[in-house]
Formats: sequence, C-alpha cells, structure tokens
Amino acid sequence: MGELETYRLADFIPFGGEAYARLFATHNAQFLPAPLIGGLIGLIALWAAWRGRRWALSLLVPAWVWVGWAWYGQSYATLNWAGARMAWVAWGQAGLLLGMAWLTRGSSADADSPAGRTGHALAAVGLLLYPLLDPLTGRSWSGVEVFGHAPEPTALVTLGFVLALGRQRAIGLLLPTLICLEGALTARVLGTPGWWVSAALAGACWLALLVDRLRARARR
Amino acid sequence: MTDHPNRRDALALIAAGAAGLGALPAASAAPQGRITKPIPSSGAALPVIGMGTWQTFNVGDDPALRASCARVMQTFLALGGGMVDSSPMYGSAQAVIGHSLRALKGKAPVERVFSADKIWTSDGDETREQLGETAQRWGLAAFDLMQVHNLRAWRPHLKTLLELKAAGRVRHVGISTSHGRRHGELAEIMAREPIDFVQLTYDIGHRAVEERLLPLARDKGIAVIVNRPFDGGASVRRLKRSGAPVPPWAVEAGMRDWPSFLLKWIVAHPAVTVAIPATSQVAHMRENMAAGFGALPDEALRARMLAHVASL
Repeated sequence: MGELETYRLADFIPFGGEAYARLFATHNAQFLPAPLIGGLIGLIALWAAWRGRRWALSLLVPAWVWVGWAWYGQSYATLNWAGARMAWVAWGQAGLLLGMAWLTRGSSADADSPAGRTGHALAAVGLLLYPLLDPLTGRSWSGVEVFGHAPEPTALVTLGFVLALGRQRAIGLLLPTLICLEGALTARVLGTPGWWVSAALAGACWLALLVDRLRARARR
Repeated sequence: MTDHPNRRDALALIAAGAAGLGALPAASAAPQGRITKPIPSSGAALPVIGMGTWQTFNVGDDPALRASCARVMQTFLALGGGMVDSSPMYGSAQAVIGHSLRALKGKAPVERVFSADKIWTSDGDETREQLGETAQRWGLAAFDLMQVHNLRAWRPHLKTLLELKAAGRVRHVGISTSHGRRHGELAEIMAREPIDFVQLTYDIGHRAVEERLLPLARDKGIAVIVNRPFDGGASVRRLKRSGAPVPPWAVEAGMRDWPSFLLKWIVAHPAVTVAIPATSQVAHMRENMAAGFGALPDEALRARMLAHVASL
C-alpha cells in the first residue's frame, strides 16, 4: 500500500470540533472591536463596488493583512502549527489585491454586467449572510465569523469583488478559493453543519467567471 | 503482569469515579487490580492503558477546555493510568498537559505519569532544542520516553537521544509511526538500533503488524505502544451502530462495553506493552481505564473475540 493512500482528511486536522468552534468566540472577544471595524470597512467597500469604483479592492488589503496576523498568526496558530505559515497566504492575497487596485486605479467597472451583479451578490452574501450561518445552525452568536476578521467571509467578499471589479481575475480568485476549500474541508471533518457553504459559493464564483468569459468570446 | 489482581476493588474505584471527580483519590498508591506489563529493557512496570493526546488535548488557551482536559487527566491518574503521550505536532497539547499537571498537583497522583513525547523536526540538529521546548511545556526536567516521530530524520535524532539517555535526560528512547506507514524501514530500525520502545498502529481491523513487527519487538525486547486502538473512533462507532451488545462470555471475562472489549483484545497480545487511546471526555476515559483491570484474555479468548467482531 502506498503511503499516500493511508492518509485521511482527518489526519491533517489536529484539533476537535469544540476547540475550533470556541476559538472563533475567543478570537472575537480578544480583538474587540476589530470584528465591528471589519464589518464597517466591508460595508463601505460594498457601497463603492456597487457604484463600480475599483478602489474598493484596496479596502480588502487591510482586511487580509489583519486576518493573516490576528486569525492565522495569533488565534489559529494556537491549534495548528500551520497557522503561522497560512498567515503568508493571507498576506500574499493582500499583495495581489494591492497590485490589482493599483493596476485598475482611476477606472470604473460595469456594475450592471452579469459578472458585476454576481460578484456584488456574492460579496453581499459574504458580508451580511455568511455571518448568520453559525447562529442559524445552532452555534453561538459569540463565535460569529465576520468579514475582515475571520478567513472565510473575507475570502467570499474578496471573490465577489475580484469577480466584479478585477482584471486578471483568475489570479485574484485563486487564494480565496483555496481558503474557502480549506475551511469547508475542516468543517466537514469536524462535522460542522453547513460545512459546504463557502466551497459551494466559491464554485459559483468560478462558474460565473467561466460564463462571463464565454459570453465575451461569443461577442467577439 | 498484574500488580495485585483484585477485580472487585478496581470496579469499586471506577464506580467511585462515576460518582464525580470529588470522589477520586489523590493518593499515590496504585489502584489494586491494575494490569501492568514490564518494559523489557528496564524492567519497569507500565499500566497497560495509557493516554494519547492527538486532537483531544489541543485546545489552545481556552480556559474552560483546559479545565476539562485536566479533569480527564485527573480521572486517568486516579484510575491508575501511567503513560501520557504527545508530540510537538499536536498543536497546544504539550502545553495543555503541562497546565493539567500543574493544576492537579495535590489533587491527583501526578508523579504516576510516565511522560512520553516525540521529536518532530526534519532538522537533525534540532533534537536538543526541541526537547528543551517540550520539557518547558510539560514542566519537566527529564522524560521517561522520547521518541522520533514518524521516523522523521530518525538517524541524527536517535543518535542524540541515545546520548541524552546516557546523560539521564531521557530514560527510554523509541521510534513512532502510525496508520501502518513505513513498516519496512521501521523493522530495519528495530532490528539494528538499541531502542527501548516502538509505537505503531494496531486495532482489531488493522492487524498487519502481527506479521512482522510485533514478533520482532518480542524477539528484540522492545516495548510496544499501540496508537489509534479504536481506528480513530471508527471501530467503536461501527460496533455500537451494529446494535449488537457485548457478548455475555466477554462480559463474564470483564469486558463490560465495546471500548473495554477492543482495548483488552489489543493489550492482551504478548508483544504489546501499552495502548494509548485519546479522549476528551471523562466518561470515555472511565470506559478506557476499565480495560486496564482484571484479567487479560488468553490466546483462545482473543481468537474468539476477533471472530465475533468479524461476524458482526
């Protein structure tokens, strides 16, 4: 038997469900008012994106810098030695978004295009609805996951904004998609209800990108 | 080997534990009837049920969960537990063990802990440094056992660990693996190197180690630690889902529930020294510890147990 076949997904998750769920509550309490500030920045970015302002992408940069330091580096690292390394993924995404915001500075996006509408909807879901997932599935409000403070809602909002506002969008979508998949697989191993939500939304984002590209090719 | 076989005392102690932690004794005298086996290289007696900490003790800085872990360890020690095994790979588990040991001083026989940990780094020059960090987290100056985790950079680590053993910083050295990985290389190490312990995966559904590694351990006088004795909980869940009760002949032999049945089957193997199930629940710890009392099944009873599980 090959060594790879002996591994199961659970072998990569060194903690239990209760410790992980409670970590979000501790993370929120420890860094108050950061979750509120994150939500406020997210609302401003959503308003700007809705008006087609590409500088909204730059508002995601501090969110990813913070998620890298506070979530991965400080909170998640207490349960998983890989947390400190995953902080670099978040900071890499911040760098990519900074580059995208710089390259598209001063320009506007078509907010009424299909990709624009899908992207805005996805960002709104990540910002306003995803945080309700925990309370709606029977978990505590204190561990609510919010944009700019927890990885998955931040990734979902980023997917939406990159889809709606970005250029070279596939590059900007890659790391947030991986974060959604990692979060979903972790939740699946731990038996968390609604584990599939972020992965499904990330998949929908890529589908929207594919449809947008096919339509653009058909128009040419 | 059994300290003083006295099943009635053991069951009374476990029942006392069931009444709440306040009822558990802090005295250092080992509970009567506890089954131990000797470590071949040193002759020291080790209780056959130990405690793993993968996932279960990795609770970070959460005070409530740390207190819960301390209660699990208190139960383990009060019911005669010995080996506590961890690794730097297990997140905060080492620090939580250290927290539990400090919290239980005077409340549980912490001196009974047989401290077992691992070196887990690809850098063969970091053995002493990592051992120092681990010792700090546990709050110990020396370890009863230090293993090379999953054979990672095992040559330089083992060389340094043998030096540390000679210097009295570790009492025993070993090599660990899990999930049936790298058995060929492990067998070569067991055959050639002067190790005291080997840690491997063995459960009633995964018996590959019976062919070569367990006989080799007996021949070479190497103590065997069994990790994942419930296949990560899957074997207990499968048996409970089957709805079948523990057969009366097994109950009569002292196995009142499936965890106890499975653990006794494992530790009854002549080559196995200790099994280290992990749990975060006091109730499960009591079930596990019950397997460490009374008599162990003989060869014929083990075969009957295996056949019965296969028939379900």
